[in-house]
Amino acid sequence: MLRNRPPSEQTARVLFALAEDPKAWRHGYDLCQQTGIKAGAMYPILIRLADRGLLETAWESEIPKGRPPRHLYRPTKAGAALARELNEQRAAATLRPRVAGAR
Amino acid sequence: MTAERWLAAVVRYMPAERAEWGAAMLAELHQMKPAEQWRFAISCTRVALFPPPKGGHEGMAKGILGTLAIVALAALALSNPETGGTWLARAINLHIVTVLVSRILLVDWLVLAGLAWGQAKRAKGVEPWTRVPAAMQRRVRLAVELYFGLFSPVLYLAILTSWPGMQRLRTDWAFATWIGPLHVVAAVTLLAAWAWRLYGAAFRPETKLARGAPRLLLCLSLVLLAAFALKDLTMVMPANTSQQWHWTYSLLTIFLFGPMYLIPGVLLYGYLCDSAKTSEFLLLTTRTSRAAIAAAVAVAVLTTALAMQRRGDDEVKRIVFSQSATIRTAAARYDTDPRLIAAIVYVTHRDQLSPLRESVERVASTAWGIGLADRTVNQALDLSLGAAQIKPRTLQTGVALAVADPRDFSRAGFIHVGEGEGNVEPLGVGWSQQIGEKVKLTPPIRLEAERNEIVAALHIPEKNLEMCAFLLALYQRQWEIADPAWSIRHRPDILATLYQIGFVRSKPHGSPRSNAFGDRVREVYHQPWLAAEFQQQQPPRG
Repeated sequence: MLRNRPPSEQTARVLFALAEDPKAWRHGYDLCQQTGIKAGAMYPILIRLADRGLLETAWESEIPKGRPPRHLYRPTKAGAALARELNEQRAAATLRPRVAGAR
Repeated sequence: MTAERWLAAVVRYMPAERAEWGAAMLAELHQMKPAEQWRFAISCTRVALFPPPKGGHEGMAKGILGTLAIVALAALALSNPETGGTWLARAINLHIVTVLVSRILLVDWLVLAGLAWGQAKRAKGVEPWTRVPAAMQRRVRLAVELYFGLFSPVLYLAILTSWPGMQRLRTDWAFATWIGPLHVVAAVTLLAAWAWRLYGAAFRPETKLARGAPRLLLCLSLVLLAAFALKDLTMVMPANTSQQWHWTYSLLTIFLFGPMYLIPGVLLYGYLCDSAKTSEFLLLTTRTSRAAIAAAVAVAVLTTALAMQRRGDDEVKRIVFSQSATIRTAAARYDTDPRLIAAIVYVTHRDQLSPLRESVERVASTAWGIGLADRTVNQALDLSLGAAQIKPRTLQTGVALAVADPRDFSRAGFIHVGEGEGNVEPLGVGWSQQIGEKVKLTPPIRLEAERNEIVAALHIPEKNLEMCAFLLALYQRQWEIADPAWSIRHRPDILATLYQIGFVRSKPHGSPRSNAFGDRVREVYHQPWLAAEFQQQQPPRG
């Protein structure tokens, strides 16, 4: 059974980027460029998200001649829901007044 | 070297279950400008070489925790051998009772029926057991495979060398000469098949080795299983067909043990028929498999390094000197050569390379001393113990030979004393007549001694050395009775050889030859320090 550990900052960024348009398929390199995360960190994030059922993957069906099909990604319902939940948590944290002395 | 070539070379090392991601990285690389490609390829290299483990870190954590638990349990058992031996005996007895109950409840046949039904469904293209979660199916199947495909075959291969039926077979059956090689091939195949299941994922799946090895091992296993089934079927068929009970006995044996052959057969056939299943033949992921290979190499290196730290010459000499008086007393009691006993003690202490020998001996002997319901396991736990490395059953056999009643000999080659033949070793034809009257030896322990008494006595150096002298005296007398004009009393190499090979092959004859142990004992026997210590005239070299 997988633990419900809160995702890292980088994972959250990837999830937010994917959740902007949950129905659209995205490419790995596009996500790198949008989030500013390097490929060496992006792929482990994508792999883990897919392992946890938060990411749907597919291969391009229409392949232009001369290049291999690209891998496509979009969030699953659970992935989109997690992105929404994280977004709400962050919004709530931003609005919460800071208590004096609290770190 | 282009970035594309670099990345293509690196992603080839990605485990099979992550290969799709390697292809994804390569496809992305094609979309980039050349200036960006190298940065992307270098960044992807780390992922390709160390991809996230399948099943997440939880899977790896479980594996590490499981391994640590096994290591801790083994360390606990070895550091407290008496308790460890008691646990071991209880676990084995529990297993024996479980097997017995499962036989009575026909669990084996139910497992066989379930597997055969599943295989038949798959052959029709229908996935069986869809209501059972996949993880549960995998665990049950692995448990069945471990029991019927590893545990049972190992026990089977261990049993047949000492099983009385095997002794008969060796002489009666025309194909008896094939049994030895068949056993060796079966043992090697079993080892190779399970090694491949553990470590095979470390090899790249597209290589010839990775594609061919599992099929070769599966085919060979199936052929060997059929050969063993045929051989054993021939053995259990009644020799005397006129008697009804012979048929009943044979059919009951086939009914009880049939699933032990049929279940592995169905499992092997299933893997061979269903190519999708062949990938499930590998138990570990690529990453874990590579880690397992590294761990196995580390353990092998560590064990070898520990084993090389054997006792030094001076240390072993000190042990011999410290037991000098005891050795003399024991030798005097049984009229044997003290220098020979000392040489045996030296060799058994100096040349033993197992770093955990004493702890393992204690664990096994405690379990043996408690007494186990299974004769085969009893034999496996019958390890050599103490100062002169004597097996408890060898001692029991020696004691029985010295005091046995002729009526206890039921047939040539075997002896029945006390609880039955399980208490004594099989005897060669040289012992088929009662010699207790002729050898006139008072054994160092009574015939009726309980197992735990025997084990406890063997762990006491003084008693152990006395038992060593007693066993050497038995062989001396056996050979002197066979030919009063000739003696092996002054042949330390031959006596040491007999001491090691046991009663089954000790038949006296005119041209005895020593084995490696006998040669080593003779070498030590003639060393000046030993001669000086025991101040005895050096007998002529044999």
